[in-house]
Amino acid sequence: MTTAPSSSFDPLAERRGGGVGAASLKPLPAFRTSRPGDKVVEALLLMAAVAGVFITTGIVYILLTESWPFFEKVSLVEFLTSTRWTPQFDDAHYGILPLVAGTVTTTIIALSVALPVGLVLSLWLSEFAPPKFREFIKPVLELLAAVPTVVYGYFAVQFVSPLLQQGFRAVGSDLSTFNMLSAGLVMGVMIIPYISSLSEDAMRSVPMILREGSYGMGANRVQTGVKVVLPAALSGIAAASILAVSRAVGETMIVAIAAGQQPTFTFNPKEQAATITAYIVQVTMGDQPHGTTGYQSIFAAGLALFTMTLGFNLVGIYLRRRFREAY
Amino acid sequence: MSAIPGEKGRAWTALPAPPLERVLRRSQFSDKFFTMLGWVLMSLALLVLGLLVLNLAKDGLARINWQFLTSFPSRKPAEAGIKSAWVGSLLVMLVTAATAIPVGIAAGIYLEEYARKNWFTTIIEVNISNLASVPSIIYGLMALGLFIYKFEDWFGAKDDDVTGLGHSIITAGLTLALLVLPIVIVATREALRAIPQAIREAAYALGASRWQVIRHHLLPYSMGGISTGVIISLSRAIGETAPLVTVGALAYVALVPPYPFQAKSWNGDEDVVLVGSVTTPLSQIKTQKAVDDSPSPEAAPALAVAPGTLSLLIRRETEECKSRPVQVDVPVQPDQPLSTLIASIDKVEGLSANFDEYSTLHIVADPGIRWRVKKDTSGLIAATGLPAGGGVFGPLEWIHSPYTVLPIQMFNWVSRPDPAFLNNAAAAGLVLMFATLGMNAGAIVVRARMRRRIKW
Repeated sequence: MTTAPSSSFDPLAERRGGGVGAASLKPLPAFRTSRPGDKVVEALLLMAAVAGVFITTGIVYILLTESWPFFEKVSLVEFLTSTRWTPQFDDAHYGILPLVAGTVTTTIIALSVALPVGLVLSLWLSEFAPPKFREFIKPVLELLAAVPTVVYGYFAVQFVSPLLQQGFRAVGSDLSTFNMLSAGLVMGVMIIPYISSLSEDAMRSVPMILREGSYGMGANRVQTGVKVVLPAALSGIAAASILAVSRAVGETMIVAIAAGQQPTFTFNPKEQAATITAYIVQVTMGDQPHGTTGYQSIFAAGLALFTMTLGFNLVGIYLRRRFREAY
Repeated sequence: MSAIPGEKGRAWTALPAPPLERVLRRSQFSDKFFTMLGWVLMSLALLVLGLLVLNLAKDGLARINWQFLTSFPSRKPAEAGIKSAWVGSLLVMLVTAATAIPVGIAAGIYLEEYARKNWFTTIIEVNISNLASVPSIIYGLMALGLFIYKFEDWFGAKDDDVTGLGHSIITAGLTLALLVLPIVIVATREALRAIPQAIREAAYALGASRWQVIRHHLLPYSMGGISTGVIISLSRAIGETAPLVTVGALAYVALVPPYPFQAKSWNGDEDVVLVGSVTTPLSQIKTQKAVDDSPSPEAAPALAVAPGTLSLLIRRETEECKSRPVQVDVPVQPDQPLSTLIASIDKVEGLSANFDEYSTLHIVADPGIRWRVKKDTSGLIAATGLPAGGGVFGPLEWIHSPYTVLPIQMFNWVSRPDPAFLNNAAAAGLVLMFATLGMNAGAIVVRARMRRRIKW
């Protein structure tokens, strides 16, 4: 992150004695350099900026304190290793693995759509598309990420799933109405803009001189794009992909509507399975009273989800550092 | 890095030069192929968007009419509407905008124009960029724990009904405000960063203070960029479902919140008011029956009907006369079957109760009473109402009202087995798409106009 350009600019540095002509300049006696209200304004603005930190602190605090009683009843080992998630049964088991499996499967399906399509689109937008057209089409593509997810959920279960069912029946196979495949595919479409737009920004900030060098060597556009621009923009592309992964992992309504709500430990995309997010929705829809294990379990699930996205974020920061190219 | 693929590692003196023509043709071919691929993928992506809208229109367009926009949800799909949903969405957005916009812009200004580079501002910056990747449902969990339960622990009086922020419009609005705050901050910073340094220097040279520079020069210049970000963030907020599910948006709300200074009397154009609802999915009731033999402290609260008293304030109202409100207590026995509960509510004059296919108990009373819906620990929502008649509602009383929003209403209809409700869901989805896509189009227009107007 670059520093704010203005922070290095201090108009009064000289008069304060820090500048070049410090010795010769004295403060003007009747010259008020700042108005009394300015400090108040600055304090107010600072308070607003600190709000961002409060949100994170609040998230961590709430997730930890609300899930603490849960981990007093359910051991961390069972939570992380058991393959059964049956909170509503008499014989309750709290193993997060089935929910994680659902989350991972839908995320992988989504990424296998969004990553190739997003990358090709970003390269195409940055290297091939006419500039005027690019300015027009980028916001239009970004509409894909602006569609409310509940609408995507409806699309997945009412359009994609029946279509896939027809396809599977044609080849003599079967597919349930709720399945991870349709949810994952639709989710993939949703996160395309996260990859294409952000990667395109990164590719366009690659200096022209690198492209010119490549063209000068006789490479064509594809070769220049794939072998010069892509590697040079890798840190930005990695950041974009990580953001897309976080979106897929945390996506809720599409999977809650289209992937089913049964926590089954499976990686088979044809089956239905609940994800972490779908479970949280399911419980909060059902009015779990405050203080029960069921209520606490959603915070434990939320903590697991938050840890996952935090992990991806750290990986993202590492990748950005690792592949950063400074020009 | 070799610029020519496939020729790596060979000494170039030993290269048998391929005919230039073939090299060129192959090179042109791959370029053409990639160009085609780009067009195809882009068209496919837009095709999906088009199919999505068409699919919604096919299912829902017929349902969009005046009745749909002005009716409350109902058990009968043909009579159901989205009045409470769009009013709720609008009011929640009002709270979100009123909080996220000033705080977000202020934070953006501080980080871009005031913050010096030190560990503290670095923490704030890393923090805000990380918040963008936190799943929205996590914000919902945070709001559920903080606004609803922790606030109740910290500030709530025991007998008062003002405990925590409750399942109210203000909780929803604040939750979404937290969610979109990073978007507003980032948009503000980008807009400020795009202003040439010379503008600042010129203003400082004329003796302006830092705040004067921001107030009179930077903010007006960056207004286009900031409003783009604000519109985008609100369009994201209006479509968000997951966090509002967790903070308890109701699926069935048959009232609109009182407008400021609304007289506390029946105005005659409302038919029913939701008083309370027990939302216990059928599955949980069945589960409960199965574990009834082995009572455990965990299982007890899952009972659909908890022992105690359901207190309702009701009054009879006809064209001719309005009775004073009376409190009616409906006794609820520990092992009372759900059907007899309905029967005993039905005995109370002016009240009727029913279950929908999701075992949501709907108690319907006459309007004119402002009800505060509150869940007790049993999962039963008891309702306490304020006496109707006399006085007016305060200007901000609507923020404590129970609510539903468009995406929640749509989600509720999507998950119903009756296909007729799917048409309602599609129609609600169309309205939602109209709102979000409209806002995004607005943002695109604002951005384009801003680019045309300002030339440095």
